[in-house]
Amino acid sequence: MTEPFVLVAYGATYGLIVAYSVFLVLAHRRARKR
Amino acid sequence: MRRSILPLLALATAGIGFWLASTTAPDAVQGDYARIFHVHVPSSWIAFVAFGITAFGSLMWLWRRHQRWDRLAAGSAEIGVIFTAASLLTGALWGKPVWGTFWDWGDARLASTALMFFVYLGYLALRRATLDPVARAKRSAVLGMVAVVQVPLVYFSVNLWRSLHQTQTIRPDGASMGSEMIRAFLVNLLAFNVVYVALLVSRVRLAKEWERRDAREMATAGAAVTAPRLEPT
Repeated sequence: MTEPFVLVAYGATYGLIVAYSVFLVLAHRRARKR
Repeated sequence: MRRSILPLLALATAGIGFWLASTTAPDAVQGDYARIFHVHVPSSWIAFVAFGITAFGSLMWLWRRHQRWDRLAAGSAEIGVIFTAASLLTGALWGKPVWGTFWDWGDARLASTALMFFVYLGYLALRRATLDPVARAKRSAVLGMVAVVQVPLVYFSVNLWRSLHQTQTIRPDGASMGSEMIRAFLVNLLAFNVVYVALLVSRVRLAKEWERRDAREMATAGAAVTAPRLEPT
């Protein structure tokens, strides 16, 4: 699991999922405030 | 309480999947690079499922004309685009050390997946470009039903036009992998499915909140027009 390509592949996949989850959480909070 | 179960379940299964993917023995030929399989294939699978759900939601909207189906179709397409992006990225990162190149437009699987990605980006752009909710739902429902034709095309492209990309690793007649690798793969596949459901539930709920907000703003604007407050003379 130390190959750079493997680390970047896992980082990119989980990064996309986490970024989208954060967007959803922030959008929910903003929608409730308005 | 109920709301927090799905994200927690998604986190737990993804954690177990990552642990299994990183601790299985390296592949005899590809070494550690074969571990990319555990995120690449589930990402592609979720993209197919997501676009299938988009087509189902589109069909249901055209039949029932209820906004809930439009919310489902749109949310699923958005998540499908994210997982297609993950599939393209991880595929390229796997291709470089194994095939010697990040990308080859001559490969049917790569080119058709890229085309599918851009078509669904177009679907999302179409939704943003149409303000009227009924026109938006109608136009995107038609596109959602037409675009899903790409899913079987992408899946069978490796059989129809043989090139760089390997054929399906897991087929009805068996899998060309060791049992330890299959176990890790199946757990990751389950984890990605749970993550997809958790994201979809959250995204559909958000769309509903946005619709309520728009309705409130429209009502306020309507009240301002129909009942103007006149200054006393």
